[in-house]
Amino acid sequence: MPSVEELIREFRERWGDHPSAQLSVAILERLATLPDDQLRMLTFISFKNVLGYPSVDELLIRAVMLLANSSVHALDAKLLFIDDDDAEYELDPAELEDARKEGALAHPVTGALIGDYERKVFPFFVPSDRLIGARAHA
Amino acid sequence: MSLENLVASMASRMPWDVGQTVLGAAEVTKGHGWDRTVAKFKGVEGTPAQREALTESLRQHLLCGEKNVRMYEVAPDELEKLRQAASALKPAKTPFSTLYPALMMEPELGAAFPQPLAVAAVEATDDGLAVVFASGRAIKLREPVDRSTLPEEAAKALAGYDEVLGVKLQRLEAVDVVWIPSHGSYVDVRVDFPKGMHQDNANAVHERVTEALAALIGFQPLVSPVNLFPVIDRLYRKSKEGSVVELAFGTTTASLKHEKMRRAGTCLREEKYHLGGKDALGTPIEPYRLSVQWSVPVGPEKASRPELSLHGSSKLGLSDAPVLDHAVIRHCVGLADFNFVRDRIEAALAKAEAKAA
Amino acid sequence: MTFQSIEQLLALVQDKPALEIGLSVATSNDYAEWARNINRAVDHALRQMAQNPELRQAKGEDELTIELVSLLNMMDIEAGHDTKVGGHVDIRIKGKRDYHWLAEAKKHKQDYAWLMQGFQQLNTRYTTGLAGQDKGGFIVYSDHARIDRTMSKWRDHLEEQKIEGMSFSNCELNDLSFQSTHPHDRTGRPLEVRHIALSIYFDPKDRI
Repeated sequence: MPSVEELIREFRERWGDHPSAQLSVAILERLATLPDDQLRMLTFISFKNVLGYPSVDELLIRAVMLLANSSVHALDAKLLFIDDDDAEYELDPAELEDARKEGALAHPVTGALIGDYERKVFPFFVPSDRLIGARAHA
Repeated sequence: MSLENLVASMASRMPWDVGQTVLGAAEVTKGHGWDRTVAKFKGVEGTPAQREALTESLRQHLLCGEKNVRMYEVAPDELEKLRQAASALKPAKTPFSTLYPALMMEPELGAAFPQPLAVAAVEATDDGLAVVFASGRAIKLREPVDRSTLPEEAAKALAGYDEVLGVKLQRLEAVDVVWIPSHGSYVDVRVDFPKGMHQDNANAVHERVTEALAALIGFQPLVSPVNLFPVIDRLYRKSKEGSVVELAFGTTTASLKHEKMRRAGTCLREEKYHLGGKDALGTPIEPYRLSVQWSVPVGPEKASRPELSLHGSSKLGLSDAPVLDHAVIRHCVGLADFNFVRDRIEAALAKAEAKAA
Repeated sequence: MTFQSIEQLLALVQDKPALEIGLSVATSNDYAEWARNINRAVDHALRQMAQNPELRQAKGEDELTIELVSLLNMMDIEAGHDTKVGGHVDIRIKGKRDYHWLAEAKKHKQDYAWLMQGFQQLNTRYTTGLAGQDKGGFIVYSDHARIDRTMSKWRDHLEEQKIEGMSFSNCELNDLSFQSTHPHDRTGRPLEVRHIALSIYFDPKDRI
């Protein structure tokens, strides 16, 4: 398992010239030191706050996406659905894919179709097994 | 019984996540959401294998799905008397027993309404006997109204409101069960408890079911439900016992806190705010409201997420001798995961009794 | 509110289909869904290249592929050209969990032997056929008219080769594309190849 420093090196080799590279590296450095229980649910706003970054903008979104999508794979993306009663449900990405195809999300409990689901589904992130292993290295 | 009847019956009582698991296991391809799935199977007979699989799943769900449960400790000789009396019961001749295990839907349900409690079936399970009562019931549902679907004048009149709610009375066939174990000493009364039904209504149904049973067998074995309040603390303190997804507690500094976290793999026992609060207090917290979720394998590569709720009130939490007479068990696919949860309640009760002794 | 909904995020990335695809790639559940979103990204890049065929008509295979890879990189897709694995695969896209999507890209000539050679390179030289690496692409650049006919004949040509166990299906993302599936030579696992077209034909008939 690579260490966090090795993950950062790997990232820089591949994406060093990217406009969001510095942000991604700053995120990795910060995630290396946060306690476990503060990593259970990371939203774009969490990343903004943790970095002291002014706002959730395109650069920040791309910085997080690189860590989730690329072969560095430091983050796993998840989806939270909050219904009108404020009940929270973690969605399988296949459910979101179905919602996009059908034009509505099937409520996980009632099975009722929700047309304005994009307002009620919230992506969030957790450390991937790779990052968890890298943190354990330290 | 056609696939149409079975799917419509499932849709009337199963959460969608449970329904998807059941349909998948029966190799029935679902639609998107319940309404589209029901529409998809209108007029469809299905294969014998599909009908058999769904009939069995529906039957199990009637016995244990989405239930408000009271448990009664019954002495061995009284229990044996109850078993014999119950096994001699016959289903009453009602529209419900004719359709069983399929459920009556509107408009037939409306035409037959109201229908008092009557025995629809007596079912043997692997580990006991279930006396199945069916009746017509109405529950009040509150739902947000989408103003964009209203006529313009009405929408304008309601424009000043942040939210508009509609109240409707929904009729359904309710299935309530008295389950008598072959071994052990706890008899369950499991009352159908769909989302939106109030605990007061469930309490009233519990009374009616035990009275109906007593009237049929000529004696009353179910006198006082077991106090489940001690189970809350037992389950909360057992760190590897499922995930705590809802918790409310009093503290010795006289504040009450209520926390919720229903996300896969997370547990309130480990959550930083919760832990921070606990550590800061230096004294044990006193939970009075708890929901625990488990992941239980229900087939190859499939797991259900049954949830047990023991919801006392804050007043209960502050009482010297708190009593909680019911548990709510949801999201069970069938008897296997229901019994998984029930076993945990029994184990916690046994520990609590041992501690008290 | 500590969350941002998909609606809010999409509003932030409005008119940036690349970012929207990136969000889909991030929330891909499994390899099949990841590969599907990669295909969406490839289609998006090819649509941009299709805008000005007159600028690309004279370009060679490598130049076109370099441009395609560059467009994918601008969409934050980890794509490389001429990456050395068992030779020189034209496009290698990597993702989380060691996911790979490889593609060969060929400029169509008169007959189909050149395309066939490219397909066999992908099939027998570059792809591993392992789980998480058993989907790929075959990109046909064509400066001939009627690329729909080219693709149809290409599909026929593939069928005539009678590659053991090969089947074909239409592509849900693009009606000019199709999919072939056959047992991979090394692993026997199904290798799914999406055959994708880019027309760089340009012969305007409005000149006086």
